[in-house]
Amino acid sequence: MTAERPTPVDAEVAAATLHCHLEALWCTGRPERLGWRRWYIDPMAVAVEIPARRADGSTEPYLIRLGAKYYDAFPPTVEFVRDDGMRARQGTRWFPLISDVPWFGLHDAYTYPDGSVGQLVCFSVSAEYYLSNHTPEPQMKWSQGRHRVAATLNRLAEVLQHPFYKGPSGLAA
Amino acid sequence: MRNLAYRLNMLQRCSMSDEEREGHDKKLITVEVINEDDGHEGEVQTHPSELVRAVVEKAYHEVIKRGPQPGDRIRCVGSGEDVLKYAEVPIGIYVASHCHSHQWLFAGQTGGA
Repeated sequence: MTAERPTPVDAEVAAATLHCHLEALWCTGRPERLGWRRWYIDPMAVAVEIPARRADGSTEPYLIRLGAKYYDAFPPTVEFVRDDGMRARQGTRWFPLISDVPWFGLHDAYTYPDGSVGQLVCFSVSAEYYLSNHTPEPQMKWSQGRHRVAATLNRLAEVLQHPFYKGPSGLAA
Repeated sequence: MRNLAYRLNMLQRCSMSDEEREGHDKKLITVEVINEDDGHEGEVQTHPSELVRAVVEKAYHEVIKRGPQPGDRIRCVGSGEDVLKYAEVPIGIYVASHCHSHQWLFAGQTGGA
């Protein structure tokens, strides 16, 4: 079976759809209750802060940039970033250690099929999962209408909790 | 973004006397249902004697708006436990003993690693 690869969608529609879905999610009040915050970087990208919680209850915030390039025919692009907006690297406090999640992987330097190297937040609700030629089972696959950016954020928030979250990958800024 | 069952129940309550309303509310248990895949939320109301399995079916029908699929996960907010572990337990006992939040998270199967 050949993996279906994302192709960019109309930028104006993509930006409006992502914005609309984020507004609807924030209107439920749940993101605020969970301590999430968001900033629009530009029409095609938003940064969301999600607090990670360790077993002892202490928390550390992580920043995730979501991009609308393929949205919502495919999920948003997902990348852990530093507070200056640059890609977070393993060994820094901006790159979390997450383990023992059967459906999630975080790779610091992944070689994509086109030869580029970048971060891969590997789960079926990120665009990069499909760009890296994964072939999900039908029920796992992103489905326009059934899935929204909420799916991406809810799963990120889940893996950033005990027992999956083990702390930052390093102390470097 | 409340579901139809919630709105109908509110309408029904409005037509009752205070005593009837008190009795009606005592009989019902409300579970808040959160669809993690699209962010929508709703409520299901049920009698304490109903089995958890039946309340889950009702939640799929009224809030999630699709049938169950392989790999779906349903977790209790707070404990994080799998709700279906208690499928054969009456909901009244379940919320009193295992899921005090009365909130359930529904998520479809996810791939990755």
